[in-house]
Amino acid sequence: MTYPWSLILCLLFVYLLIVIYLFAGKRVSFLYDGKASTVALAIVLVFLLIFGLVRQDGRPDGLWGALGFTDMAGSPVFAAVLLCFAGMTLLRAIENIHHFSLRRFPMAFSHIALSVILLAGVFGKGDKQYLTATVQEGERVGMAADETGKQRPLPFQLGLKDFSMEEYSPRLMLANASTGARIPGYLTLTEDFTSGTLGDWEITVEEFLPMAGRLADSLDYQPMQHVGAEPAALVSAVHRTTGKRVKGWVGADSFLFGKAVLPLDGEQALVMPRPMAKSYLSEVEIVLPNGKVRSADITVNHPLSVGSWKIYQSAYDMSKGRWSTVSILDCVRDPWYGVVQVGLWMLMLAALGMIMFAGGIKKKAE
Amino acid sequence: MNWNTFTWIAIATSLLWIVGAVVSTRSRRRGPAVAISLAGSLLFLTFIIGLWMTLGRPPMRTMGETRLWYSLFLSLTGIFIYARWGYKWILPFGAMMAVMFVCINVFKPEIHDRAMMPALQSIWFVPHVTVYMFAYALMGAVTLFAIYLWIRSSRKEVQPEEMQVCDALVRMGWGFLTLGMVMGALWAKQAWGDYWAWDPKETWAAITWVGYLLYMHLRPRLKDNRKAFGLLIFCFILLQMCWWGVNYLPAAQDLSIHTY
Repeated sequence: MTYPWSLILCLLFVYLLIVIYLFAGKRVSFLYDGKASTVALAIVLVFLLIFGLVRQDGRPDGLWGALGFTDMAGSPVFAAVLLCFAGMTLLRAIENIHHFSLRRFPMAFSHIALSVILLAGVFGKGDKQYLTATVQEGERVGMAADETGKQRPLPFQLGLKDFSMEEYSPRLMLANASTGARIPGYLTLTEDFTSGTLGDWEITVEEFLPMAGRLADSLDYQPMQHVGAEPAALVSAVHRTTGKRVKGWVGADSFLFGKAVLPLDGEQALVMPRPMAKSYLSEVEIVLPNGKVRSADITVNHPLSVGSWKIYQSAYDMSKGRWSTVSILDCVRDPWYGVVQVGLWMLMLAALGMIMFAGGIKKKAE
Repeated sequence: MNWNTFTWIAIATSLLWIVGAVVSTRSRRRGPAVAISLAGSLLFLTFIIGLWMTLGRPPMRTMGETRLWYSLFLSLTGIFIYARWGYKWILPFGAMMAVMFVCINVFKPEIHDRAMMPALQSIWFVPHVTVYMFAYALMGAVTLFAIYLWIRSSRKEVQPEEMQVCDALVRMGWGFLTLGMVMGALWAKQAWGDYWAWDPKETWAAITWVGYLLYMHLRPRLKDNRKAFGLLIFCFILLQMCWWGVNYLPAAQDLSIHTY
C-alpha cells in the first residue's frame, strides 16, 4: 500500500475511531478500558516473544515457517495485531484528550505518542524506500538495489569522488593454530611499542612497518607506499616456561600481499588482524535532475539530505579494507518519518513525566 | 586510571558500600549510612571518569564496561530509595548486587577494547547506554523489593504503601527504558536510516518494555500481590534476555548488530 492510499486509509482509520468514540461513547468502552488494554498488551507480548525466540531467517518450513512467523516483521498477522493495538491505543488517546488532566499528562502523552508511532509504522511501511547504491570511485550511478536486489531508479545521480578510511593501530593476538579462532587479549602496535605479553609468550617487536608489502618470491616484508599495503611486524616470541623462541614476520591480511601468521607451537600462532576502521568517508557528488551538481562528504552517523532523500554511509569493499575503491551508500526515502519523529519526541516527554511524577499516586494516597 | 587499578578501587568501594549497608541496619538515623554509601559510589564514579579519560572514549562498549554503570546506578538507586523511604533492607540488598557485579568484573573481566566502531561514535551513545543502565538498576531494585515482600508476606502482610513503592519504581524504570529506546530509535535513524529494524536486541527491548507496560496496566486490577511479584520477576527475566541473554540465544546468533 503506497501513497496516496496509505495516507487516505490512515486518516479514515483515525476518523472512524474518533466517530466511534464520539457516537458510541461508553457502549464501546470495553474496546479500550483497562481490561482490554491488559488483554491487548498480553497478546502483543506473546507475539513479541515468538518474534524474539523464533529465528527470523524467513524459512517457510516447520510450524513457525508455515505460520509466517520466521519473518515476523513481514507477517500480515503481526501487522494486524499491531494495527488492532494501535487502534485501541488511539481510542485510549482520544479519551485522554477528551478528558485531559495535567496530572495524567505522562499517560496521555504515552498513548498519543504510541498510537502515532504505530499508525505511521503500519500505514507508512509501503511508502518507505530503502535502496542500496554501490558506487565505484570516479563513477556515477542513477540506480540502486532494493531489498530484493532489484535495481530501482534514483531521482538523482550519485557519484563517488573518493573513498577514504582512518584505521585504529594494528594489534597482535594469539590464535588457535588449527581453527584460527582468536584468543582474547591483544597488544596494540604503535611506533614506540617494543614488548609485551600475550598468554604464555613474551613478545618483542624488532621492526614495525605501518605500511608494508612483500614481493611475490619473498617472505619478508618491506616498507611500501603502495595499494594493498598493510601493517606488518618482525616479531620474536619467547615462551615463559619452556623458553622456546620463535622469530618471524606477522602481517595483516592484504588483498594483494596476503597475510603472514607466525606459528608458535602446535597449538597457537601469532596473528595480526586487519586494523579496525575508525572512520570512513565518501566524498560524493550529487547531480540533480536540473543539472546542478552538489558536492558533499558522507560518514557514518552523518547522512546527507537530498530533497526528501537521505544518503547514509553503509559499507565498503570489505575484502580491500582501507584500499576499497567502492562505497556502499544507502539511499532512504521515508516520508512518514516526520510523523514518527513527533511521536518519538512526545514519547520522550511522556517518559520524562513518568520519571518525575513516578511517586504521584503515593502522595495522593497519603 | 585503568583496569589494573580497578581491583583496588573495587575493594575500597565494596567496603564502603558494605559498611554503609551494615550501618543502615544498625543506625536509626539515615544520614551516616547514606554518606558512607554515597562515598563508595563517588569513588566508583571517579574510577569510571578516569577510565573514560584513559580510554579516550566512553566506557560503555563492552559487557564489563556496562556492568560498571550498572553497579554505580544500582548503588545510587539503593541510596535514593533508602534516603527517601528508609527501608532497612534496600542498602544491604543493593550493596550485595552492586558488589556482585564489581566482583564479576574483577574475576572475569571482558576484553576491554580501546577501539570504537564508527557507528558508535554518536552523541546518542552515552545517553542511550546510561539511561538503559539506570533503568536496569531501577528494575533490579524493584525485583529485589518484590522478592523480599513475597518472602516476607508469610510473616507480615504487604502494606499498600509498599506496593506503591513497587509501582513508583516500575514507573520510573519504565520511563528510563522508554528514554533509552527512543534515543536508540533516533540514533538508529541517524546511523542506518531506519528507526526500528527488528534487530534481536530491539525485539527484546520491545518485549521488556511491553512486559513492564503490562504490569502497569494490570496492577490496579490485581488483588493478589503475589501475581504482581511474579510478573515483576518474569519481566526482570525478560530484561536479562535483552541485556545479555540475547547474545547466547540461538534464534539471534549472527543476526544482531548489538554484539559486545
